[in-house]
Amino acid sequence: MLREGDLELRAMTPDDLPAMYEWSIDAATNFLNGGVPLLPVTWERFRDKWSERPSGPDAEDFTVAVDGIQVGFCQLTLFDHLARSAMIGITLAPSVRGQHVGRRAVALLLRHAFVDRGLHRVWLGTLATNEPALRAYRAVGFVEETRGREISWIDGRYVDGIRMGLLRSEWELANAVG
Amino acid sequence: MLSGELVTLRPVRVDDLPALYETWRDPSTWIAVSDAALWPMPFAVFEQRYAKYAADEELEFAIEVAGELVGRCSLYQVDLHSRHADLGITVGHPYRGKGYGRDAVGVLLDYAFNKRNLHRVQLEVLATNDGAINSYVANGFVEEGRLREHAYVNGTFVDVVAMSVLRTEWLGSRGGR
Repeated sequence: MLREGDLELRAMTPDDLPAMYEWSIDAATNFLNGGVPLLPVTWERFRDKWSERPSGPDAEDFTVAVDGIQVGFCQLTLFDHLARSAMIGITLAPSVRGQHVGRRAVALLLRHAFVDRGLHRVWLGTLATNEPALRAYRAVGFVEETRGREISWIDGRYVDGIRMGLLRSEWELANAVG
Repeated sequence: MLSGELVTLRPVRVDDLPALYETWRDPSTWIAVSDAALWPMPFAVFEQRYAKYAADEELEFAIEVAGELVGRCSLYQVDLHSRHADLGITVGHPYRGKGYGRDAVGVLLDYAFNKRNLHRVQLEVLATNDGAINSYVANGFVEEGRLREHAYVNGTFVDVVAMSVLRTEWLGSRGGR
């Protein structure tokens, strides 16, 4: 649906769920995401909970694919229609981390947010310890806005959370729209 | 149920609802706390939503002063894994500026840390709401940054201030257990 070179953000299908299940129970991935405890969730429960997720204009879920192969998941969600903002999130398979796939996918998602959806602001949250994510978000223009002190319990200790935001005017300046 | 110097916090009762509804749809409340669109919600819908909200284990309290309802406050979005919760409070227009909000926040923090064993209490407040920000600072909340143009109020985008207080800070300053 959204493309740039060999990268595509496309609608999720049920075939995408098994890989997403594996990422969800992977300890290292959990430690990058924060917010959700590492739990022994069965495949059946994961699949059933996923089918209960609301989907629609307010909860856009995408599979990230490179050369047609599923490599991650990203979303534009928590829409605030009054303030015209939404949150982005992204998870990548361990095999494609460190190759700028994340920042390319986020760049596509930002164009969709500002141009297709007409948003005023896009924001995100990540762990202060997730340096690769912070670098990728800064590279596409996000500004650090808040540090949530000791907001997540990860692997034996409390970790800070960083929230970042990007305003439409900033994105347009950097992307020379119109 | 819970007592401060000025206020008492107790469960919400059915006969509180008309007054809470009036406060809720008062434009001056909206300008102070706006995080959703102001719309002409009928009382019956408000009643229904409130009942569901209270039943969903949200920690919602009515605020009383000398037997009179002056507002409400709550801990919500409780994260049992990371042990944090959001704090929200609304004081009716005629009762503002008397220290009731500040006192209620103090009672709620004591409840959060000493009764519910939380690690962190956080909140978001409009950058334009100086009165509220002062009350939070007086209770030990620390500003963690601003979400830029994250809210829309009365014709303009407004920044939202993120604040928090940690268990270690709060217990240290109060000599709690």
